[in-house]
Amino acid sequence: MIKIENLTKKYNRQTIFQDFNLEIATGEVVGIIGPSGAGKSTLLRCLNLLELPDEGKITIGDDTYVAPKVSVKDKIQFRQNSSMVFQQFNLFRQKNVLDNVTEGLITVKHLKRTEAEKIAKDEIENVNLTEHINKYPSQLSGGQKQRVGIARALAMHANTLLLDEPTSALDTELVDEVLSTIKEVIEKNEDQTVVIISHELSFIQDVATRVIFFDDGKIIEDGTPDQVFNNSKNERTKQFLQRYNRKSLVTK
Amino acid sequence: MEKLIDFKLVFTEIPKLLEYLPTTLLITFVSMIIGLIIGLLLAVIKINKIPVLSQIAAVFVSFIRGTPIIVQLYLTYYGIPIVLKYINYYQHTNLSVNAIPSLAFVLLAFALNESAYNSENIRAALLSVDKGEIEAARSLGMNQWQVLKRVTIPFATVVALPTLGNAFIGLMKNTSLAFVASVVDLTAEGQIIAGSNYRYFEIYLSLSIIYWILTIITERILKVLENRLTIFERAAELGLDTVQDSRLFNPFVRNKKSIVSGEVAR
Ligand SMILES: Nc1ncnc2c1ncn2[C@@H]1O[C@H](COP(=O)(O)OP(=O)(O)OP(=O)(O)O)[C@@H](O)[C@H]1O
Ligand SMILES: [Mg+2]
Repeated sequence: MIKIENLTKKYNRQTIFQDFNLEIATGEVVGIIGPSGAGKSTLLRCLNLLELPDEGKITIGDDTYVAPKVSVKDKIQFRQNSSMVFQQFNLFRQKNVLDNVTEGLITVKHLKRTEAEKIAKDEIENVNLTEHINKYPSQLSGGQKQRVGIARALAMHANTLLLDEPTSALDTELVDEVLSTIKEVIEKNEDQTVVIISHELSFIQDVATRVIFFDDGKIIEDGTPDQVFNNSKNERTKQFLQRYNRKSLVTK
Repeated sequence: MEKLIDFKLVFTEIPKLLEYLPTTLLITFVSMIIGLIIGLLLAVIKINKIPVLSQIAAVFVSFIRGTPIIVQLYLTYYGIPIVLKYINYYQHTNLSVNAIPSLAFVLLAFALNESAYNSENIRAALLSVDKGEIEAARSLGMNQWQVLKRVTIPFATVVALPTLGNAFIGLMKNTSLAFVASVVDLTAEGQIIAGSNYRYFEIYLSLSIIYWILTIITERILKVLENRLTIFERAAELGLDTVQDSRLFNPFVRNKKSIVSGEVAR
């Protein structure tokens, strides 16, 4: 469960969100779409506290974060309610696949190495990378790297998974393997809340239970994939979809 | 005529000189370690632009870089007694300069000198760490110290190693100035021996051989270290799946690919 109340976020003097509200139920798979600069990444980063909100309240599960005052300890504690998959993978380049995945378990959760490796191996298996377990990121393709990123996020067993354009840094031929991994991961754990930002509209339509179209820090449209993609009454949504559909037709 | 050069002496005096090798190595290692720690502190102060401290740090670094090391040694040697007298006078304490071994003056001077020179390298190395990796670490729930320890310092070490290695070699040779504070190291012992047998040239030849070999050994060790630390980016080129064979890190083993493919017997 995610509940965002009266969120305000500014960068210097630029206001990205003003009194923003959003509620997401446990197990929902929310696809966030919208034009560049709409604030999609900022929203996700606020949920993970990589950006600190200026005002407002964020609740994930039983844990509530009240901006802006919070101790370092509470911040770190709150962060562990969600795990993040990054556009640029952000793997630890000096660590092999296994150590990338065990890192958080050992350093943050203080698990013993053997326990951490057991969990990590399971997650690595889930993203089909068992045979590459000893490789370094420099030896992996972009798609494989992102699958490690997914395994690393899943290993933390946070109930909320946040993905910020997980495939947009990939060459076209590698996009599908990562998307199908994400789909498997979503289907495997129905209790997991997932928020995914993506421009892969057909993928969002396929996996999401709910789609939010975002512009200028505001929710323009919010509904089932069918409502938003096929029956939108909103001009801005329609324009956006048209542009993206045309784009994806061109690339295909 | 007396022998112009006594070549035998060049080698026979080496064992006697080597008795003072531990002192040279001690000064080198201890000053380097303290210098790295203070250098890291200075770098962190500078990166975070901590008010007042970062200005003080900048002046300190500029001063150290702008003055010869031998002058700095003399400043420490003559300065600390004055500071102590000052403290004794105003705090009514009874600190004695004689209670401080002269080695401490040398360590302090070299450590401060190293810290100033290293701080810039360390700063640049810290800044070269990928922001994305730091973010990933933070998002996993690491605190600042854990991020520094697990991500920032390991990568910065790889980047800074060549320059810090050179600094180490430079320091090892600079310790020959320790005699300034009447510490007997390799060079000081050489001067003492030469002062009694007047074979200055031979003794300085012995010393050069010792320093030269020390430098060559250090360079080799640094190379091994560098190979080991950069395996993560060379793994593909080496065709590695697992990194277990220690010969892969051995700088004397040239054909590493054959080890990987099993052509060379294990
Ligand atoms: N660290 C930052 N400092 C200042 N401004 C920022 C920062 N990050 C984002 N912004 C600004 O905030 C606005 C929203 O950015 P955000 O990255 O959230 O958009 P987005 O919807 O994710 O866009 P995209 O599809 O391009 O990723 C943009 O105008 C951007 O320039
Ligand atoms: Mg974005």
